[in-house]
Amino acid sequence: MRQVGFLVDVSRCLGCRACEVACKNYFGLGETQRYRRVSEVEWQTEDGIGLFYLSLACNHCENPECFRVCPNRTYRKRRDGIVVHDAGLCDGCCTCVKACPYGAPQYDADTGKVDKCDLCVSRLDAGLRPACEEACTNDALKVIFLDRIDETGLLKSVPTLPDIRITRPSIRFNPPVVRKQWLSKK
Amino acid sequence: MAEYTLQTQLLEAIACGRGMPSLAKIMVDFLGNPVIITDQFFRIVVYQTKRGENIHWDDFLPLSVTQRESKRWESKTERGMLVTPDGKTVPYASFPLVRSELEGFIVLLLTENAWSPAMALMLEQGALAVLVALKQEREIQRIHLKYKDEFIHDLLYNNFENREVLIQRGKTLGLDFSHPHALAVVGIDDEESPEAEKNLEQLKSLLHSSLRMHGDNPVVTRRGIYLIVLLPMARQLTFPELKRELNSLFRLAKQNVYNRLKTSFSVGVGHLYPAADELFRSYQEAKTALELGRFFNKSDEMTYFDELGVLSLIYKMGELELKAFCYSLLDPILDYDRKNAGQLLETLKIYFQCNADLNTTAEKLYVHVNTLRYRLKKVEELLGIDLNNLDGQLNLFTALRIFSQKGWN
Repeated sequence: MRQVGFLVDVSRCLGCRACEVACKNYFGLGETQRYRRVSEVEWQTEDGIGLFYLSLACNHCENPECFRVCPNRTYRKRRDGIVVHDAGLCDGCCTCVKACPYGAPQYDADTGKVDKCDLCVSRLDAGLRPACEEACTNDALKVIFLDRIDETGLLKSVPTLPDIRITRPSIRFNPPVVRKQWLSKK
Repeated sequence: MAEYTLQTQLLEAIACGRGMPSLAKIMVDFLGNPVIITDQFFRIVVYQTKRGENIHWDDFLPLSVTQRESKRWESKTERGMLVTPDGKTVPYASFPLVRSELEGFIVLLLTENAWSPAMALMLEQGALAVLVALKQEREIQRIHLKYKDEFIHDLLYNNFENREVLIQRGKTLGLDFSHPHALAVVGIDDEESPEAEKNLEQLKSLLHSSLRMHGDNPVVTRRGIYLIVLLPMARQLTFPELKRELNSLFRLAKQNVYNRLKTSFSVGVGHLYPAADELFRSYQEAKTALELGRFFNKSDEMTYFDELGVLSLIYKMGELELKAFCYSLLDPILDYDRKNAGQLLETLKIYFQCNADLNTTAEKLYVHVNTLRYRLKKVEELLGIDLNNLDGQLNLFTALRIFSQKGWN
């Protein structure tokens, strides 16, 4: 079973938000919409409280909740595992917005519809990299085929990521690294 | 010379693109006895006999092989007596088809000619050619299944234009989606075991045969770590009817599977929708039911999404709210257990698992009923609730269930 997903190297992410901006530009998103979001995460280490940046968009889950709950059948999962949304069929009921634990579907107040990251399928189909991956200057973001990679040493979840057991998101992480300058002893 | 000729003829048949029945026929002509070729679980792949004589076998030969035993199958003929479905006893000799692992058996029914060392030699010589043909047939099946799998993927992920297209595409693969279909997701309980991958493949094949024996044209396919079972229903059933039907079907299937495979599996069943174009919802529901049904590390369970009730609402709630609810309720017990190396939490889990039956719980915990009463009284003291009160029970049960489901400690 093919499944495309993201590999996020949180040890390399600087929190520059270039991915977030590139995504926003590429999709021409409104003021309130962000398909990709970078957040600052604090985590407890043996030496104190560490910090890393977490860049998240739609995780194209193995069991997508958005897809199950949508009353208008606007979602489908392609054979490569990418969950795509047909905004044309959407009536903006926001059921998917409430159901997704990762906050991937976003409501656009201007159009009255919901939409989300489609992993830049039109770019992928044309042999290009997604806008966010291309914009990342530090190689912290990569598109991977989960059925082809060796997952040794990769994490399926990181602190603050909601429970992955039901939805099984198609995202993997390189473990966060403790940096001395980011440690605050409490 | 005869054995050389048998092998050559078998290889010639393979080279001409002839299938397993032809190979079995050649063996019947050479050995003078009926031949059955089976897979590693004694499921009959082909049964070939001389004209006129025929025994009606079920899908499986009444022989059994477990994984543990399979280690000893090393090119050795085994002989014994076989009881046919109509009660006759037939002598047989079986020869395992082994290369790196056990792939199947050639079973020779000794109804015409008695066993002889020459037969043993011929069986040994013919085995390699039969093994090649068996593998070739499996490869063809695999390619056929690939097309079927792609269609099932589209079905399960809402990847089709409309219902008519879906029904039409199903028809070309011999599947009738104009009727409602029940959808169940099957997962083996020991997902982390190194044998999991192999067990899942074997379970798929066994489950398909077992369901086919008792149901009408079931589809068993694999997606990642799950097996998906689609069962056609003649009409739209009510939930109690569906539950009765599926429970009995899977009980029979489990009996058959557990006799042959040493791994247990759990089943999640989605809502039964009247039309096939809603099956994608049923699929997601069945997976949720399976995950939530593995409550308190129970195994060998069958969970229906329609029966999840309040839990199907809770699992969608935010982690922080759930954590606050669980810890505010369970903190005194957790503290007590931590400080006194106690087992109150475990006791409560088993207590609810046994439907609040004191005797069964005590038996499961290997403690006296009075010890159990003392522990439950302690819980009541610590939490300030009455365990006989439904309110208290409900809150505690829900908190424990979330706690287990999320794997917190």
